[in-house]
Amino acid sequence: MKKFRFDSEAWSAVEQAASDWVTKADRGLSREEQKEFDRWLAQSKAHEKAYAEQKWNWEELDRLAGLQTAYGSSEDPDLLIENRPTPARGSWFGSRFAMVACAALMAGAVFAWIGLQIFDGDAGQSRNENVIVDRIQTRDLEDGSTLQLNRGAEVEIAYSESRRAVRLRKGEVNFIVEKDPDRPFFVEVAGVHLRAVGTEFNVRLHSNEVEMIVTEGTVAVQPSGIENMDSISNEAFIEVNQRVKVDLSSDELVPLIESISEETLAQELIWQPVLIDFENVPLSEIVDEFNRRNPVQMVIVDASVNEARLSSMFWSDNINGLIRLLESNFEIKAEWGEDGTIYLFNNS
Amino acid sequence: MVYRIFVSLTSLLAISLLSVSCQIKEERLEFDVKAGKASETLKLFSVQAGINILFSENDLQGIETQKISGKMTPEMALEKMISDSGLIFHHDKDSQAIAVYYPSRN
Repeated sequence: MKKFRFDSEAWSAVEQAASDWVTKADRGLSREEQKEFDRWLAQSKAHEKAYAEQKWNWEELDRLAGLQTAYGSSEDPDLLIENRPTPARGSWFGSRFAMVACAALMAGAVFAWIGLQIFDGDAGQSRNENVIVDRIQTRDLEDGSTLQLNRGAEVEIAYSESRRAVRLRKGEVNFIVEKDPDRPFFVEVAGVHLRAVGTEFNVRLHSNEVEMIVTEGTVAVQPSGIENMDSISNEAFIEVNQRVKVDLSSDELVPLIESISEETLAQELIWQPVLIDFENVPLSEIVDEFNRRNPVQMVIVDASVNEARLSSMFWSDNINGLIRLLESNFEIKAEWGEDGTIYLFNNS
Repeated sequence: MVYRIFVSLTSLLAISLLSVSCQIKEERLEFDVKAGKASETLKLFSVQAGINILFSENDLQGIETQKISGKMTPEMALEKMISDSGLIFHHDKDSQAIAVYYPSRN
């Protein structure tokens, strides 16, 4: 009997600890908490079991909170009475009460939604405030065309019934244009006009130069400040594996066309995100590949971090994700240099 | 009559907002991953979930995962896959990346 009481109390303590960990995990664990949690979990099978149970209970609460049921409402003593009195539907109190109740429900829902957004955002920032590297943005347009915006790029979209127009204000964008002969696709960048029908091309605006590479189809270039793009004349046609550059600092905007090799093409487009499959490699191999594909560079300071063999499926632009996982689960500490370089240390 | 319309519309709006907030929290996706070697099946899960994944080969040595099939949230799918394996995971929701690891081997 005594032994039973002792076990029961011990189990309660484990349950309580498990419950605490579930709550902490839900709001996000710090690196130290993650280590402590791992140690606690590895101490005993009972810990694993209790954690799994408490986590299930926690999620069940979430699920129940989402149900629109009458469970928990107060009893209705008049439910089975014949000719029970009904509230006057048109009464002042009834209508006002319904309006207020619904408005309150609506306001509650709005606040809950806003709160969820704020909570999610804050949770992420507080865990790792230093590491912020934007990911490449993809914009799917209404006609099926797709724009991939390199970090910092800005565009304006102006679609009408007769034509599709995009102005590149800043940075670099890859255009994958859906064919539509009735609605030509135009791009305007710093006074240089491009026209495409069903094609793929990459446009970059430098401080004093516009650069465009065609990877599929043909693009017409008109380097002039004309107002009406429909009346473009004397266009230069750029084809696959060709690059055109227009010097914006010269008095006359002249397109300079050149052919480029597959290697140059690949190098020019390396910023575009790809899903990389790493299998049983040291961290240095992953770091090298990310460095090749991103302007932000990572440097391994302690060679000992290469001892672990890692596998992963990662988008090449998800530097934040890689750094956060290395820090929270692989005993690596990341520090940012003033120039934005990320230094990786052994933190075990 | 007017108040009935008002009540109906506001209720509809409130329920829509509630359901939107639930969808943001947990989106259900279609999964189909057979049981097998963890280092292979976890990558299949990653592609189907649209979530990046990272793990140490040492942690997953000799571990097999359970089959998953049907519509569920990525977290539910992963929990099912690694149940009884000793593996646990850490989901960084902001960057859509997951680390899977074996706590007692670290």
